Amino acid sequence: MEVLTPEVWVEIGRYVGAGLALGFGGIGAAIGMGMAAAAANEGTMRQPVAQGHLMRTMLIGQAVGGSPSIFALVVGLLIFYMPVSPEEIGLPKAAALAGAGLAIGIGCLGSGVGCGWPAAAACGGVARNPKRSTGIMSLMIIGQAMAQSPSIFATVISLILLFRPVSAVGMAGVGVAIGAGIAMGAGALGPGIGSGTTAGGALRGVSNWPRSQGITLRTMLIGQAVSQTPAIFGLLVAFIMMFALADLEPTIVNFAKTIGAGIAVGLGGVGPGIGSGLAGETACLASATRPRLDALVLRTMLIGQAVSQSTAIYALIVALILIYLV
Amino acid sequence: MDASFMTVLVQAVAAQPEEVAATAIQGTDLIKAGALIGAGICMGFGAIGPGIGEGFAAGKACEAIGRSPENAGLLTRTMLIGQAVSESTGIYSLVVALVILFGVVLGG
Amino acid sequence: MERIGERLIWYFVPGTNTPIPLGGLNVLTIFNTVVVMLFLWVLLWLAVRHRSLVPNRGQMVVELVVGAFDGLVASSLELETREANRKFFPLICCLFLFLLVANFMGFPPFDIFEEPTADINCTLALGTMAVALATVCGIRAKGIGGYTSELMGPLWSQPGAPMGAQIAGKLSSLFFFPLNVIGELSKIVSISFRLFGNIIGGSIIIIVVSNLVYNFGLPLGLDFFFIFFVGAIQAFVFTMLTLTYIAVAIK
Repeated sequence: MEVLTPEVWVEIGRYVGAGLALGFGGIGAAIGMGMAAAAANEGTMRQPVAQGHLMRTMLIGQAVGGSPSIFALVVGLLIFYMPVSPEEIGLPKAAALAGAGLAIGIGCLGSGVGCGWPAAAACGGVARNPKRSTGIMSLMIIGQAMAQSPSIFATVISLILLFRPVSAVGMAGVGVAIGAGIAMGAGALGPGIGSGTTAGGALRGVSNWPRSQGITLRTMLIGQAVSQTPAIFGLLVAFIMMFALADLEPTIVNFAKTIGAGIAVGLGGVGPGIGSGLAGETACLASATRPRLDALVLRTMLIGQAVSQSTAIYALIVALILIYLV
Repeated sequence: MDASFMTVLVQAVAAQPEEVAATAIQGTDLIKAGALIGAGICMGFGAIGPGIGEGFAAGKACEAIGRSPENAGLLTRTMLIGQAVSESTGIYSLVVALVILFGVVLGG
Repeated sequence: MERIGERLIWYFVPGTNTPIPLGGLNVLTIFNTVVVMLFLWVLLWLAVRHRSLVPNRGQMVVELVVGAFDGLVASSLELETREANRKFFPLICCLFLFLLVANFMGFPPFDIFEEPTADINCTLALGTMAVALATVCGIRAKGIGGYTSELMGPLWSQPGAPMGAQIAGKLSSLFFFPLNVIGELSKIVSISFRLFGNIIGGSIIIIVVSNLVYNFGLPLGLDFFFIFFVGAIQAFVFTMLTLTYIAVAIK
């Protein structure tokens, strides 16, 4: 027991947090960039003339799509090098470091993968129609920026975990920090992937039917915004845990209830996020193909997404019961 | 997470100077803690499948309405019924989680 | 770095130990909201001061924005008459312009200017307004009965169906009604936290990176991405979601 002093715990938390942030945070962007490069290669094989346009689209898509991994790198390095003041040294701070790593690492995984779909679809579209590369590229950048907002939420939560002293003490502090990390990190995973697939569908639609770009952009933005609802629930629960649970008793039950709430709302958001994204993908394709049916398709998409998100709402309810009633 | 690891964690907390003294962990506390984490895992994992599945259904409905808009009402209704069936596993998870939670609240 | 906590919760007037008056009412948010409104008033007044058939530069920009939103509202709502669409147009156009300028308020490098949208109370108020308005419009368009039967789910009214299917349909509302009510309420949370999270996220990332690089060079680029690009996209998304909620409710 003598070995595990508070200083040692903080060091353990630091290494675990930085490892989670840099390890998981890199996976997503790497997959996404790979998808873009594969699509660009395929395009160059079919249309060697368009190589210059393809190269430019691929590089811009990878540069914008790489920013989640840059968030993860910055936060990971912060976790690794952040000075911890002597009065803060202890298990809660160690857990805050590890929780920040969880939030940023898993949160950026989803957005990194998500940014790959629009980049790949844009490369495919540019290969087919090199003259329209500017329009396709601007739609790609908007889609990628939207797909990154779950990773922005995750960055916020991990920075708050790093820089604000954890208000709950002892076991409860550990639970709050890890629970908030899981809630935000896993909660951002599905929406990141989902909003990416929606943007990919929109780009495929627009590169086949360029005239319906305006309508497809609108369907894409709404579809992405709705599919990010689970990430917003994760953000909400993480905020509640970090700011409203200051006077939690340091017991093992409170530790368990915060971790449980984090797992419920975090993992519960994965499925609805991906599912709503899939609905948005086909909706974007449909409204690009038949722009006149736009309102009908949008309505169907919203109804379908609302039902698909009811499970995320159940998860939120269970998490709130865990936090407030137990 | 087994009991010995929990004990190590709690003793490490108790080792801090200005810490509230950790009370000894009792068996009922561990059971309660396990139940709470279990409820969270139950709802969390249980929500993954229905979410993806219902998204598939909604996507196919959008595609079908794009092809034959005159059947929109029928297609929407079919989609909702299919989603309601696919939702049932999510509801099972919710029910199990609530049973666990209220069992803990009322029993404790 | 200490500003991160300050940006989220203010119990005190920033930089002092004086508690915020009126029970923690956030004076900075209200001040910035008023600044945004004054800015828009003055700007639009200057732009359309000398109206003419051949527009000058300011009038042209305003006409472009107004025309674009007129088309957007008309194609989203798809009502029969131009006047019916025009009823919602001022709200949508105002909402977008207000949110756009509000999201850009983080750019002036003075402590007193902050995005009002980085305060959850502001976005929560706007989100509540959007969802309540959609509900009121839905009740007006379909009547209380029509609106409630829509909340009861797709199987509530099946004219001409056999008895068993009718009963099953009525029973299914036990499942659909709570779902729809909670879904409506969760719209408020999602629409307001989306805007809030993106704006506060951008400003926190800018604060941290500025501290890391000693305010040299990089923050300006981040300003352009997070304040102007993300701010404009999120203002548009919030406006479009409000419009879509209304459009879905009245159809």
